[in-house]
Order: sequence, then C-alpha cells, then structure tokens
Amino acid sequence: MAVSSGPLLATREGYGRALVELGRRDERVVVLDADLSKSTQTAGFAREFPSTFAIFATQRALNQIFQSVAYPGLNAKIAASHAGITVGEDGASHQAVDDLALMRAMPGMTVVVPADAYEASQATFAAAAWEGCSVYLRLGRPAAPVVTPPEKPFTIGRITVLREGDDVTICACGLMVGVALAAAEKLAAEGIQAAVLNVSTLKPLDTETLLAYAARSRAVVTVEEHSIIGGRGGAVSEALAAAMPVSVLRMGIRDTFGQSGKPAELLAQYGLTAQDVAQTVKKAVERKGKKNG
Amino acid sequence: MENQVDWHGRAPNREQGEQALKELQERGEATWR
Amino acid sequence: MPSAVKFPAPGRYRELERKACAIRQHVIRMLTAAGSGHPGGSFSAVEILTALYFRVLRVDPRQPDDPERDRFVLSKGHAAPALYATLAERGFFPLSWLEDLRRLGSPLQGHPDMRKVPGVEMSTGSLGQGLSVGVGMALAARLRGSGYRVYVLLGDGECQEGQVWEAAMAAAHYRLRNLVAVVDRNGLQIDGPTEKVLALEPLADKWRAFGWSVITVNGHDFSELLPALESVGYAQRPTAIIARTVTG
Repeated sequence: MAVSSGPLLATREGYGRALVELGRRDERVVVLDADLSKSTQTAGFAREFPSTFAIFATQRALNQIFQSVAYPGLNAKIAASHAGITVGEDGASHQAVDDLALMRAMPGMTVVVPADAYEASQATFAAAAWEGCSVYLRLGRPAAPVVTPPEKPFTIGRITVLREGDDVTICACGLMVGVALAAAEKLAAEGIQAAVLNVSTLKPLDTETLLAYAARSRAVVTVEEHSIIGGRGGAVSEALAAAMPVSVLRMGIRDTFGQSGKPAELLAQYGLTAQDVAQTVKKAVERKGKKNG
Repeated sequence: MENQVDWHGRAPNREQGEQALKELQERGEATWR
Repeated sequence: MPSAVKFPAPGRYRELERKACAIRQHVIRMLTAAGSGHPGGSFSAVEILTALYFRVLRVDPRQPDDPERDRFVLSKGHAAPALYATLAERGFFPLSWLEDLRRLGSPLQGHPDMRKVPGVEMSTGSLGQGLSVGVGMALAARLRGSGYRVYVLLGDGECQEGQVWEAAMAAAHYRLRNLVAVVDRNGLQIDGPTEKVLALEPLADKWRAFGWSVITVNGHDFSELLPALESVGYAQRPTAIIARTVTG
C-alpha cells in the first residue's frame, strides 16, 4: 500500500462529513462544540459528539471526562481535532502532545486515531455505533495524504497492515502512517523490508496482530505525533514487555512542549519526517544484528 | 453538631453517635406530641 | 446569615418532619458505622431532600428508569449519606443497605455511583459538575419534548467552582425553565465559613445577574421549601432556590 498521490484531506473534514450523514440517519445525534465548530468541522451539523481542540478536550476537561462520563459509564464520543504539533503557528498552548496518554489511562475509554480523512469518516460511524463505552477520536488539523481505501469500513480494535516486511515493524497512527509508508519506500531501496502497521485503535490494542509482527521482525519502531511517554509507544512497549523481549524504539515528542511554526517545519524540528523514521529503523535493525551476532 | 466546621468531614464516634441519636429522638418526640 | 436560621415549630407538615427525623437518624447510624463521611453537609440537606422525594419529585421506585421521571442530581456528592437514607426511605432499595455505607463491595459508595444505586441519577463527587449535568438533562427534555423537571442540589462552597457559573450561563441562555438549582446555604466549608474562604455574597444577586429567577427560603421549613420547589417553570428562565440552612 503506497501513499496516494491524490488530494490532501484533513481528518477533521472526514469527521465533519460523517457527522452530517449521521445526523441525517438518526435525529437523536447531538453535537456540542465549544465555540470552535468552524475549526473542528462540526458546524456542518447540530448522539453526543462533543468537539473541540484535543488539548482542551483532554487536559482541560480531564476531571469532567472522568467524573461525568467515564466513571458513570456514559456513552459519549469525544472527537478532538487539532491534535499534535501540526496545529502549527498557535503554538504549545494549543498543541496536544499528551492526550493519548491521558485517554489511554482512563478506564472505560476507547481510543481511536484515524490515519486519514476516509478512515476518520468511517471511524466516526464506527464510534457512533460503539455501544457501552465512551470513545475518544483523535483528529488533526492539516490536510494529509490518503493512505486507506475510501468506503472501507472501520473496525474498532483492529490493526490494519498497510505494508508487509520482515526486517522491522513500524507501528504508526494518524498523520505518521503516511510518514511511515514514505520511510518504508526509502528503506526498501536500501534493501530493508519494513512492515507498516496502522495502529488506529490504541485502546483496546490489537495485541494479536502486534505480537505476530513483532515476533517475525524482532525489531519494532513506533512513531506518533505525541509524547514518547504513554501514547502509541507506551502501549506497544507495555504489550511487548509482557509477552516477548523485543526492543522498541519510540519516536515522537521527546518529553518537551510544542512551539509555533509551520506544520512541516515542526515535524522536521521534532524529528518526525520520513527521513528520521528511516534512520531510526536502521538503528533498530542494527541493534537486532548486534544482539544476534 | 450545629454550625461546627469540624463536622464537615468527620464521622461521629460511637458515643457521639449515640448522643446525637438521643437528641434527635427527643426532638422527634416534641414533633409528634 | 445562616446562624439566624431556625428550625420551625412542628406544624402542618408533621409527616414530612417525621420523615426528616427518621432520615437524620439513619445518617447518624450510617456515619458512625462507617467511621468516615460528611455529617455537616448531609444534615443541612435533609429537609430539602425530604421535600423533594416525598412531595415534589414525580418518581416511582418501582420504575426507576421511566423516561418521563423527574431528575435529581446531588451535585454536592459528599452529602451522599443523606441521599441514600432518603432513597431507602422512599423505597428505591432496602434499608439494610444503609449499614454498609463506604464498605468494600457495598453499592453505597462514599460518593454516589449511578451504576450501583437505584434512584441515583448521576455519579458525583468532584464538585462543580452537577449543574452542567442538570443543564444537559434539561436540554435533553426539551429535545425529546418531555415534560420532566430537573433539580440539582449544590453546596454553597461548591458555588466557588467556576464550572457552576458556566452552567448557570448556559441554563439561562437556553431558557431552561425546567431546571431548578437548590443551593444548600449552610455557610460552612472545610476551611471555615464560606465568607472567610472565598466570599459568595451577594449570592442571590449573582444568580439573578446570570439570568435566573431567585427565591430565598429557610431550608429547614417545609412551608417555605415546598412552594419554592413547586414554582418551576412560570418564567422563561431557570430557578435558583437559596436555602438557608444549618449544618449538623
């Protein structure tokens, strides 16, 4: 599966369109937005989909989510856009780099990170139908390349394998899936075959698929637009540590705050480009070699 | 216990509990007369 | 100020007064058995809860999930013992549950858990959130075309939480005439009198400024509480009842 060369679409757009469709299908759907409906794309609309920027939806409302949603077992779908550093010029105060860690640690919260606009649309429908549990849906601001086929139904809790490869397993989510695929193409030219896993559901984690690929490649790299503490890297490390001694190299924001800048510049600044991923993969492969040698 | 800040977050011990119940019962009887 | 609040002499509401007395006795027994809890804030709310559950609220313990039922949210969740005792007396669950307050495995958790106790509409405990929940419930009633009313009991110290005022603003904005906030104005909180910690007065003016109808009553006097609680929905705005009470 390669990165499509078609138009770029933001995940929040895919979500916005799905919401309108959902509203048409079921008049009970209610969307709540804290003055940001034009940005979060819920304005196209009117079941409880509170939307705002990821940092405000999680950090700021954390106790409210705990006390009034998760603990009483209520079924709310929290769709948060503008996650990660690609929020850009607004700077650190608007960039959520710990939202996945916070939501993952919340009992009774399912955590979904769609990789592109189509997946975001399908994930919105899946989230709406997900009974018995609240869902945190993480969306981004920038228009991004499409990496999944449109109309492919989204299954919560399932990893999709976008590229096969035995030398290393790259676990990515969100915007980083496209980046990982680009890195995998570069690596292939150098003779390294990387599997790319779209870990679109962070919780519950599809450990079966993860373990199968980790066992085969015996080298894992995780990459996310999020702190290396507690998010995708955390989840994968926890799962693998319990089951098999495979080293995991975590790529992401290295325990620092975000800052203002153009999204592409920021990704370079924080080491999240295809080039960076390729480099880290080579390190992982090297490490594997040393251990076996 | 009336109007005492101390009683915001502290439970009565056995004796205090029994004392309070007695006072309540007395007040209750006054109501029912 | 709250210290001037007097318990009225027994009168027309003998049955309700007896109920309130019984509930107070339960609360003392519960807290003594549990060895921890919040007596002050539980006691100040007893007449309010009695008035609600034995006169005002259209609820049926045999049908706790009736979609048309009135809702009550105990925003000051630490007064749980009083709510539990009231619900048990009203028949939502056996009185025998009360002695297990706060014990491991008991449905009667330290703060209300809606998944465990029939009759509890919302889990609370982290102060300042109950009115927001009430706003949501009141809005849902309107969206569904339902006639149920929503009552939220807040602590006065709780009104120091900013979220309360955001909810108040929303309630007025959406003209939620089916929503009533009762403030248990007992004048005290953990660190001392409310007016020394973070002054609330003029409290009635604040609610009015936020677009609510405001009634001030003696929170232990049924002859004042009942008409106030029943006066819901006559204006196109939510109602705040400031109930002057005494803790303990």
